[in-house]
Amino acid sequence: MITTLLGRCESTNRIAVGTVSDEPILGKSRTIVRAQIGAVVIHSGLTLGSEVLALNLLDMGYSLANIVSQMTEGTITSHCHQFALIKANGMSQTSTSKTLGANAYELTGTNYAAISIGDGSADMVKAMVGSYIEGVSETRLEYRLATALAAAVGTAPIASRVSHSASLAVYGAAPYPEVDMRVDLSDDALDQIRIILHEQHLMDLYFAERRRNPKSTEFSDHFIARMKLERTKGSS
Amino acid sequence: MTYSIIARCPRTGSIGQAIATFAIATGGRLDGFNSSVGICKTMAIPVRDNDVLAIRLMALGHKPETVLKMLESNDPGYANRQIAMMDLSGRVAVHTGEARPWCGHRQGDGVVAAGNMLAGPQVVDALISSFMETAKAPLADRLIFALQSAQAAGGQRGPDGRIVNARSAALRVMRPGAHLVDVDLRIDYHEQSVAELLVLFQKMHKTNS
Repeated sequence: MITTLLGRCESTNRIAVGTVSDEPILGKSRTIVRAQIGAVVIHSGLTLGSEVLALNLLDMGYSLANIVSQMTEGTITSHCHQFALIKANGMSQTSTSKTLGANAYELTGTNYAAISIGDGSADMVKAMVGSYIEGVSETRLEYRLATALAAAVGTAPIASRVSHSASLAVYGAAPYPEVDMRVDLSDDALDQIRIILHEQHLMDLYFAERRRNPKSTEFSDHFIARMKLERTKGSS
Repeated sequence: MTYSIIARCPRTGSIGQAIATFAIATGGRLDGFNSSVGICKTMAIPVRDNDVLAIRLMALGHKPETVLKMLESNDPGYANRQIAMMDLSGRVAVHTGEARPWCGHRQGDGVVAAGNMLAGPQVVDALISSFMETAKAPLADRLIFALQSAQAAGGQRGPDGRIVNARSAALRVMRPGAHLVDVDLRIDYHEQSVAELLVLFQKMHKTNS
């Protein structure tokens, strides 16, 4: 099972993509994001490179419906496809071939697109989107997305209630991702993503300090250890 | 504290990078990796825009050595940077500023290795020598073996001699001009990230075979 949520932050216009799977992905996720253009995720079917074509068409101003047609018509592997697109303005579209039947789910709306394929459920996708919509007050899009992915896994059929791989990426105005985290193989990939988010926050603090004070900032491992100690004292 | 190798396969023209560092999720910050242009990585006190700019300048046709000079003139913090880059033809340029010791770099034809806050020069020597000794292997194998060799040569170490684990590591290989990666493996947070990257690499091979 693989489940993906594409989201756009209503207040910052940032685009985020979160994926979770009960299988190891091992660097094979077919996700492509371009800052201020949009994002495309392919779960199944379509020839390699279709994601690049879709994003290029998005960049050229093609409508979402037109892009879906371009991607699915006349493609040998289109009979078993599932993919999702979101534009930088929040418009989104998903496409799932009928042959995938009861094993595939999708849900779209303004500022989000959700797809799932495998042993999931419609409730799982609804729970994920519901969590994402409810999380509008969360200022950090990456945490909002992580919570939504956890809601999906928590609502999945019991046999699929595991995450062995997960990824999270957030794009703003810069030509590179503000956040880009991935766990390819783990017993609890979503938990690992949360730990990485926390550690990354500490590293961001360190790099900000180092840029301010390049000569005399303490070593990064000392800095991280001190921050953790201070936080432990603060919470006790 | 980081060590990295950037290289080109002379047989296939593929380019690749392997990196290990104390910071988290280093594989999410390979912003200067472009299969149609080359690779640039800024370390020590990194500036992400630097790598993007370097790629754009190389895309205009500038040689890596020229690009390095252009980065110097554009960046007031250049003295604090460590920058390694290579274009698609394998030409390299590298700069080690006032990074934390031991810091330095080595370069060869189609390969450049650099690092800072390392156990010593033997770490970057190991990156290069391992890469050279495995010339018949696929690029991804050569890069990951180089990373293993650097780790075995001491890896990251503080000036007081303490071992500093590389908590994230990454390996990426792309064919020239390709839109999709051939190999893209990441360990975003693990106290033994280099060893874990090898585990992932072997598992990927097993899955693909």
